Amino acid sequence: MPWTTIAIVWGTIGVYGLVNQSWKKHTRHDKLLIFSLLGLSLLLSVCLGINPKLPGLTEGVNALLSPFKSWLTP
Amino acid sequence: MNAIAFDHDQTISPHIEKSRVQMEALLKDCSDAAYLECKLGGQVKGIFCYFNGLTNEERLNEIRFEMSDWDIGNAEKWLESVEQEVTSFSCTRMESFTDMMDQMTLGNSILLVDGFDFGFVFSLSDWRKRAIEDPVAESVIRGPREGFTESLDDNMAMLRRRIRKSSLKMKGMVIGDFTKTRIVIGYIEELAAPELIKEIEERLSAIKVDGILESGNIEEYIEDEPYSPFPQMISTERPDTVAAGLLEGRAVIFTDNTPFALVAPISLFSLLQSPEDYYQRFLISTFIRWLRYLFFLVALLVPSAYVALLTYHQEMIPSALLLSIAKSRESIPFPALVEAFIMETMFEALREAGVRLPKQVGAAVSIVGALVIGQAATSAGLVSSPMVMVVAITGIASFLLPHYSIGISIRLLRFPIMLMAGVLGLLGLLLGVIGIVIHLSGLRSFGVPYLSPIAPMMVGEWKDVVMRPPGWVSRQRPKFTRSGGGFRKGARRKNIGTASNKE
Amino acid sequence: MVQGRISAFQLSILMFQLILSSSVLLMPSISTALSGKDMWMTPILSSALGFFTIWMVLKIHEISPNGSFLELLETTCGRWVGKCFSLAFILFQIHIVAITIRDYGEFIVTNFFLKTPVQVIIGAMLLLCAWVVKSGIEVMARTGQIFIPVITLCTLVICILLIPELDPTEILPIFERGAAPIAKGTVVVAGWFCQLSLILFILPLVKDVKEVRKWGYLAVTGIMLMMLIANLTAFLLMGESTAFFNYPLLTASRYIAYAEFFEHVEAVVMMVWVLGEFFKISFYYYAICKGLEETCRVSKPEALVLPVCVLLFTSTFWLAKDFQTVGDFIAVSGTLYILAGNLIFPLCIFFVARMKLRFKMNQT
Repeated sequence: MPWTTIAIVWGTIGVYGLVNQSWKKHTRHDKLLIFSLLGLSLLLSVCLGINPKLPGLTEGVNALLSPFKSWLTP
Repeated sequence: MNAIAFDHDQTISPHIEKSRVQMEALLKDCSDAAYLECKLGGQVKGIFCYFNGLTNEERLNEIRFEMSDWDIGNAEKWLESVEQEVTSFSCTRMESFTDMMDQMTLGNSILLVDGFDFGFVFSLSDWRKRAIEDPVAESVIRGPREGFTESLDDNMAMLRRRIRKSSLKMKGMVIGDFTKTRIVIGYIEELAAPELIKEIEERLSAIKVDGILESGNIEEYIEDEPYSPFPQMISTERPDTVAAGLLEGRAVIFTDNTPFALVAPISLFSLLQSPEDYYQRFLISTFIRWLRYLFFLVALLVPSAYVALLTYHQEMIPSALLLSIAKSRESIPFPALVEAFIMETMFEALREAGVRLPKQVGAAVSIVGALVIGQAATSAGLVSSPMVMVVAITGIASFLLPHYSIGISIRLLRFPIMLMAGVLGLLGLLLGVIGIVIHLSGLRSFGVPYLSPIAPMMVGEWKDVVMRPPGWVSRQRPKFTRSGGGFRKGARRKNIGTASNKE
Repeated sequence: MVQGRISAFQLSILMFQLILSSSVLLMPSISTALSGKDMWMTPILSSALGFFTIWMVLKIHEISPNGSFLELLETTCGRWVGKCFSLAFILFQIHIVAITIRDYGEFIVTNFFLKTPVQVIIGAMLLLCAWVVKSGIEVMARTGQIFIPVITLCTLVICILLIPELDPTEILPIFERGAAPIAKGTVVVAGWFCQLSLILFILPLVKDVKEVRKWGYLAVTGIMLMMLIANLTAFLLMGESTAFFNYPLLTASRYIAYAEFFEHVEAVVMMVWVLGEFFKISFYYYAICKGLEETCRVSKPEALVLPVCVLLFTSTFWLAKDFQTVGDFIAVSGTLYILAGNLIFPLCIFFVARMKLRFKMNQT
């Protein structure tokens, strides 16, 4: 993903979080979960920005199940 | 903030001079307040207080003359005999200045008598009311030509004439610190769900405002979703619409000083029905109903579809049409989206201006607007003629909707969808429509889902949506919720409205 | 996320669209590649797996505490191991929906909006899905009741309009290559049918669970019929070259031309497919939010909606980078992966839970 997209998306999220402050009213437990989800996404986007071809689960599963490939090819 | 206000809690003095001074202090600087002195039985002093223009002054004078001819009797018993005589006019007692003021503003007059620490109220209210006329915004070809007026009593009478069983109940209340507007909730006890009436009453009692001038103010306060563009109550001037709604189990809210009554709860499909549907033949009404559904979609989607097709999906337009549109758009400097926005905005402005034009100028301006300006703009190359056609079709389509409130909502929603169509073509149009449907699916009118009976599905009710069923088919009373137990409580808004400034 | 409840009928409508959204457009080409001329038999045969999935889901629902699969995981495998399994299951669903979203984005960008960045298309759809998930399952069901008949009708109309162009002899001879290719095709299509086990997340929210069996079987029958019709239309039109097109039904709709007026209706096919994808993505999105809410014991589910939106957006680009990878994945290892996660995993948990229950009953 190009860095401009990442910047725009996270910038919008930041502005939205600042404008609509209702997230402050949730319990600690909920806030922890929200921010861990957001943190995970941020990490993913930054990694994708650095390396657009970041290997993901799909490649992992492909590699894992490659011996079975012959079952389903025509 | 104010100067010394009148103390409404002081007791009325039994001495006529003092009570007169009190009354004059209450009505200080009220040049429309009038005082009429009289002598009951020639001996006891009394004063009639009333507001000019609200009371039947002829009858008041008659009463005054009758009173001077009474025989009061001897001095000890004159308290009782005066009371007897005066109450023979079947008037009521008023023990506080607040009550007296309430009665005087309703047109009744107060009699203060020497020796009594309360006032007598005579029901003599009579003021200039508008005659019952054809409802302006909701005329029909076939159907009664009576519309509600500003007088609450006349409106209640019109409804009472139509529903003559005693189960038609009219619960009254007063809202507004300064306006003390009389509100009446009307319903048929056997048909309306008691939870509905209770919910309406609770919401109305929660309103704490300075004043209520029109039913629109009330509508805003008691709606489930005031931020939605869609109306959740029908506002109508027609007594037959109200009576039909009551017979279906809905409730009506009358407001004094406005001819618009509110009917709740409703669904989207009730907004697309006109009372005339039920008076014409059922085949014709079914056809017109379908026409209305079609033009409901046209009014919402045609400008956006035009913009989307021209900008993104030209291949969908048949070639001959495409050539002629391309020819007319050749010299237009704007892209289709901007052109559409300009034309639609101009049309809305023209329509809004037309509401306020004096009658003499109105006809001339519409001719000028339509022919000259449209023609001139097209030949000047500012807009293309297909665009003018599209805007005209949309305008006509939105006039087909029988209730003004839903027409405005659609006109308003047209613009965001046009914007989305201009950005993402047919995909944007679709996303906009999905958004509107999501909003409608979650909307409730006093707890009844807005899209019933389509969603949640109540197949038994479909016959009134798909067609106008003949009278013998729709003999069953309609249900709002599937198991009859579904009026949800709205979110209770605490202290809605602002009370008057505290001192 | 307003916690509402829906009826079994509404659930079945959502199930119907859940499977059909992607299969109607993508499946003909994959099954033709594997099964050749006999690809039309594959939906009929794999619907057996659809029925089995519904049966299995209902059985699991019966033995789950509070009707929730995730709680069953916790009671069966212990608290922390169960939570890990739940998170893995949810991650699995995120993977599937990421592929679906990427598919949708790819479809729109390559066929219609060549210059629009795919992030815009995906972002717009995810925001809309976030709105409907936030409004709750009832609103989603009601929106479904309005749109899903429209989608079905439009698909049928497209298929009917193509009847003059169809050539029935394309499917002959039947059983040309024997049973093995048909079996392979059936397994791939079964990968779609087993996505029905997503309703494991939603069953606690259904009002009349007893009716789910009847409506579920009806939904599976409906899915099978629609798949059959769509497959036959695509194949009878284009023969074995169906395998070469990514979106056979879209290509087929290009053949519709009546009186030079009703031409080039691909944009309508796109709109119909976008509507269908909207429901599939929102259903997955809702299931993921519900799963996270139950696993992590969240008190206010509304808080999760937007973070999950961002997570889905980012994971779409991580898990499904381009169409090449996705295409390979779906055709081959993806099917086994989906079957393992949606079918074999719940089945194993079911057996373990049943054994534990029997063991407990034998002891007392």
